[in-house]
Amino acid sequence: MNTIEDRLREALRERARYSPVDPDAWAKTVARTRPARGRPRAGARSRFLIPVAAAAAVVAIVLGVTALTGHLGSRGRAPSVSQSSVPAPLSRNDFLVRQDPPISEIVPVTIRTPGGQAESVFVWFARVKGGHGTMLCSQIFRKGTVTAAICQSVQLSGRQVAVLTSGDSFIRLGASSSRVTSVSAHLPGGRSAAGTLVGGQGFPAKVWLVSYPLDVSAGTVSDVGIVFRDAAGRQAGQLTILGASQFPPAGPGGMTVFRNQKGSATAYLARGRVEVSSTGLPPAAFASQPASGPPDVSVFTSQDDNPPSWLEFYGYAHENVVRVTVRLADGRQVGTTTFPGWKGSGIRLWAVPAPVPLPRPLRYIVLGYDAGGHVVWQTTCGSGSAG
Amino acid sequence: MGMANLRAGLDAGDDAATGVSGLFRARYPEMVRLADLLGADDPEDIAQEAFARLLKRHDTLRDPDAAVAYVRAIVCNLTRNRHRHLRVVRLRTPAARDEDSSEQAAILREDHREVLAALAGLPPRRREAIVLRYWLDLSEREIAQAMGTSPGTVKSNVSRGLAALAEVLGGKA
Repeated sequence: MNTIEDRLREALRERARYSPVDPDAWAKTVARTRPARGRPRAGARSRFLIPVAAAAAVVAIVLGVTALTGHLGSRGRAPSVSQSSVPAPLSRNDFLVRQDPPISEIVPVTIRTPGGQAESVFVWFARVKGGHGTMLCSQIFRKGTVTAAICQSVQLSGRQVAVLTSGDSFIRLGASSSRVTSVSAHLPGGRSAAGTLVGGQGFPAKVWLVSYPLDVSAGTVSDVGIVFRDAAGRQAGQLTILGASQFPPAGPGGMTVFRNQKGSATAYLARGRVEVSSTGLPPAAFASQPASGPPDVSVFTSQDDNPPSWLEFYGYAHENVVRVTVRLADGRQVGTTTFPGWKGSGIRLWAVPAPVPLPRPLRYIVLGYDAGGHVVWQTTCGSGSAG
Repeated sequence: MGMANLRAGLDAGDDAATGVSGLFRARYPEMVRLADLLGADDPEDIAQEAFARLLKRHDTLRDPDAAVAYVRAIVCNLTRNRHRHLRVVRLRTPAARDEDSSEQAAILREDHREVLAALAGLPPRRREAIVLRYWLDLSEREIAQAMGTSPGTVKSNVSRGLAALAEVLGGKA
């Protein structure tokens, strides 16, 4: 075999990795043979499940997901594809894709929300900067706009079967081991919502997605249980998505995370998770998962204004994380050391102001380092064409 | 699994969708990628049309391997037709394809970009022969079936295609 042939094979193989597949493809194909029957039902992605290698362990994390808005690059589509329900394939110039090149197929998934809307999510895997660890990346579209765009470290460990990595108000997603064959959300009042599991070329684990309505009563948002089952129907694992509670939280003494001329944030360890009460800022922030589990680094942002005039990145980290840096899309970078949280909790806190002026749109990468200077955790957040 | 489903569905005379769906699950992504590598402007449209045509005439296809070859040939043929159509369109909008190319290029290594750009510059038949040979690793007979030509012509297209690529890329064919 000569050099040209080698280069050809490699280039073709590499190029072929980046061809997203429409989850509704089969329904659309059948519809082409039966034009009188109208549009096909939006197909479940599970019909296209590709077996994945047994995942070593689970994973991950979650956190206050910052909602960012933006638009993906467009690309020509077939006339048969509804633009309202199926967005254009993810642009290769998108911020997440540029910053964290996919190591897997980019899989589009159509989710039917409780309100009956067909919404689209792109999911794929990427490598943590420095090559240590894997991230699950996702972009959630609602009415053609990205409501959440994030890559987060993901690590299944031990007998763990699933982890939550990100999502937005109505769609939650994460990674699960290969033994999981179904997922559902269990809501207050005995209600439940079936989720979806997807695989794709190069996926080191299955990706699960579930959509459910927010259940708000007495000013709080109820907890939701995400239940995972194996092929025999046995419960293989469960995650609890903690809802919002009343503020200020009833927990151990507050710890000041940061204080400046614009406001301050005080963290509490309440119900086993980190909750933050603020002044001069959006009043509250809270983690969706217990602080004892993932994430290794959590990220909150101080302002929801779009665009904000100032911003403080802050959060908590596990005790192995001694330093956190934030890189903005325009290349500016800020960093800080973490400091001890509540005694015996194994939690460290951190806060660092973003440099001004803030880039618009706001896109950033948060890296957590251990004492050896290795990146042990990463979050990349933002969408739209990289600039 | 895909093949087994197709055979069972066809032999039992089930609804067309039952039999072809297995093949679809197994081969649809491959057909999308084939159309993409051949330079189709909408690979999924072509792959869906190819499988739709299979659905319409599945009764005449008893051999799963023949079904795969049939779909592959349709993908090649439809992509070729799209190229002919796009040549006309480009006379009016010369930059129509450039945006797509830049998106794809952004994620690929420089070397891969060079190779793919050189491949895109080949005449359609030579590009088809090269992709079928070096991406799908098909035999000359299988490539001939997909392209609707003879094995001798395939051999010629591959050889000349490689020579042209070597000239552009500065390697040895």
